[in-house]
Amino acid sequence: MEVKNSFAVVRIVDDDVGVRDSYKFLVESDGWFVRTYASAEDFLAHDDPSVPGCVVLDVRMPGLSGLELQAKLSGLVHKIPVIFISAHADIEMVVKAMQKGALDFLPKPIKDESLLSSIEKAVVIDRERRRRSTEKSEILGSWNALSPREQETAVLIAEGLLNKQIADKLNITERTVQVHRAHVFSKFGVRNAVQFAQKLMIMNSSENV
Amino acid sequence: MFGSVSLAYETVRTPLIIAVQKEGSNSIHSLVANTFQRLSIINRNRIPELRYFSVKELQNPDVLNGAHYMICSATVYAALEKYSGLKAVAAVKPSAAISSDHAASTAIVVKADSVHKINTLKELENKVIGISEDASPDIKIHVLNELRMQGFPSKRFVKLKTIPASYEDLLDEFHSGEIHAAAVDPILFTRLPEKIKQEFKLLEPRIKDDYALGHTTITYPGWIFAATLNTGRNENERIEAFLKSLPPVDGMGWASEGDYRKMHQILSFLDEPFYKSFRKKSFNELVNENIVWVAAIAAVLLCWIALTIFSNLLIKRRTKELFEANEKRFRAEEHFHSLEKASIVGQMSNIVAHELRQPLAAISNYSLAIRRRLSKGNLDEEALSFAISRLIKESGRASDIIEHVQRYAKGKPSDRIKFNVSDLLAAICNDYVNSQRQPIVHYEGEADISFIGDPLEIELLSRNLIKNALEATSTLHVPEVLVRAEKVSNALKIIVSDNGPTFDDSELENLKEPLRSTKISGLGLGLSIVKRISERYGGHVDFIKNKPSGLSVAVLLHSNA
Repeated sequence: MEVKNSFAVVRIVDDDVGVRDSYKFLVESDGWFVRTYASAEDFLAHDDPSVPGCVVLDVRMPGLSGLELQAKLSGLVHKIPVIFISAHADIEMVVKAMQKGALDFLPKPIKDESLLSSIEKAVVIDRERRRRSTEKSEILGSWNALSPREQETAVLIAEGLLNKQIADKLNITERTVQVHRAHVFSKFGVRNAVQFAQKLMIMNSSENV
Repeated sequence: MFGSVSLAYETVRTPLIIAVQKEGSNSIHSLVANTFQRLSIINRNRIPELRYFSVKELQNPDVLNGAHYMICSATVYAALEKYSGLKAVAAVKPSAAISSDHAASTAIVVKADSVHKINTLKELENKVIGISEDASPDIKIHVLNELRMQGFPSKRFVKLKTIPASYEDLLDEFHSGEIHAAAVDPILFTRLPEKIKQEFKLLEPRIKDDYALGHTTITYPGWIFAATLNTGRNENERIEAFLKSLPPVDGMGWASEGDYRKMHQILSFLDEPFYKSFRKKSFNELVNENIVWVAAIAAVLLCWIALTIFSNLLIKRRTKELFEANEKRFRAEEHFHSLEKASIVGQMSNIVAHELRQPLAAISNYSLAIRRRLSKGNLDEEALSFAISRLIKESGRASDIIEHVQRYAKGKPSDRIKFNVSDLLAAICNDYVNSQRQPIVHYEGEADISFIGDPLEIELLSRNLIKNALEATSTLHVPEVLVRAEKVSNALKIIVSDNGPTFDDSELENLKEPLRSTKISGLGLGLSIVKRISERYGGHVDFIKNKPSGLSVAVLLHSNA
């Protein structure tokens, strides 16, 4: 329940106003904020992607279908998790949607447990992604603040080399290495080489959140 | 003086017609003449008249219609007695004969100087006997019967030849060898001059006869005075008495009639065509005589009947074929209609199944939410009341959809009520809103249009039109769907316009064909349902191209259809 304390919005896209409202009422039961959209186009035009949360999509809609919307969403900076709902799902469609990163594919008639647990999972993932995305950009900022010599030294620190070994490699004095290490650790807010190595791993991760 | 008085009291004299057989009658000429003369004198009421008829004429049964009496030879009498109801009143009897049964016979004579030396009847074999053309037919019968009785029954024993009546011609025939003998009436023969008589020799003369004349054959009944069917019995008796009272003339007088059964026997036996020719023709004989005509008529009739039967058969067959073809076409049409109906109902069921899922999903969601909130303890009264009102609304929507389909499936006419079309359309339009709750379909028609019909049908029709329009504009940045309604006299016109893609003419034509949507996927049945509903209202669907782009679909509906 911790996740709900921070702000998140569950987006529901369905062409039928009655169904849309009923989803809204159901999802609100667990205390979520809900926004409803009549179509994929409506969603693209009016949704604020900076707000964390998830999208609950009906696969079959007039105009842009749920799957087409998913394809468009995957091109965005913030990949918002998508939960599909369909009464007409076949295996091929499910596989395709999951390969493209759909979080879940729920059959109609919907079960409240599975929908709400999926939503909770999705919001957690979204928030984690957004958090990691923030952390990465912070690390990157710290990294860029280092001088080139400090960056060289930092790479070797992360590899677990001792000050003396680093000094030998870089043809600098051990004292200079000690100064760089202290500076880098303070910049990144870490106490040891292991914690620093973790930060660099996050920075170098290819994941584009 | 007496005369004038008698004239003054003269009664109307009616004719008394006596038919006389021409052939052979000269043998009793003087008797007939005398009888006629006496008859005119004695009967003041009747004017006697003699009419001579040839045997050939007498064969016509109508000839005697006007006659009262008939004087004829025995053979002719026999024939007429049998077939015309002639009845003998008196018969000629020569004074020398014992009765009228022996009043006639025939003499067969040859030339006395004949080179053929014929002395007996037997020697006449293969010879020709001449008979005068004005001789009574009795002569021939006498000759033939004599030959038969003498044992020469073959008809080819002698040849009979009809010769001219005059004596000179007779002689010529003899001379030229055309005939070898002649059969003559002995009465007439004896009247010939002695000199001529000597040139002839009588064959096998019967001289022992009490009949003094020389003759060859036996004696037969002679001439007869007979009554036709035109006279009464009393008159016949008076005539009989009158005739018998007359004195003989030239040795001939009237006596009681003879026995003519013998004549009938002889004539029947000889199978004489002349005898039978008096008979009224039977149907079979008529048919036989006119067999060619009968056959021709029968053939024509048969052809006609065959033609009639044939053409009747042909007509029957053609009619049957036509009927079967019609029946086949009718069945095919019926089949097509049932297919179409099934397909429409199926299509509707598809749409409705999809539409039915919406309220059902909503109902399910509200119920789940209530249960969830109940278990969490966060179900407040306001939320519950909201959820219940929605549950009622959605279940109503579901049952409306089901009822509508049932009506269609059963082919029942829907209940038509008077309702406000403007309100209905506006409410429908309000359902189509974007996330900002802003309407995306606008109703721009007249307000307060009332119409008599099924609101559900109108709603289905309108929703299908709107759905099509929304789909056509879904890729546009600023979609524009307008719904209008207007009253056209007694009819309702609903127009849904969009600013979607523009159709070319062939695509427009395709739209008019049901089930041919330009949409690649999707249900594509909207238009088909629109058309079906408009048909139920006796209306039609028009497609109009919008400027600069888009399409307007106009549906005309009659409330009294």
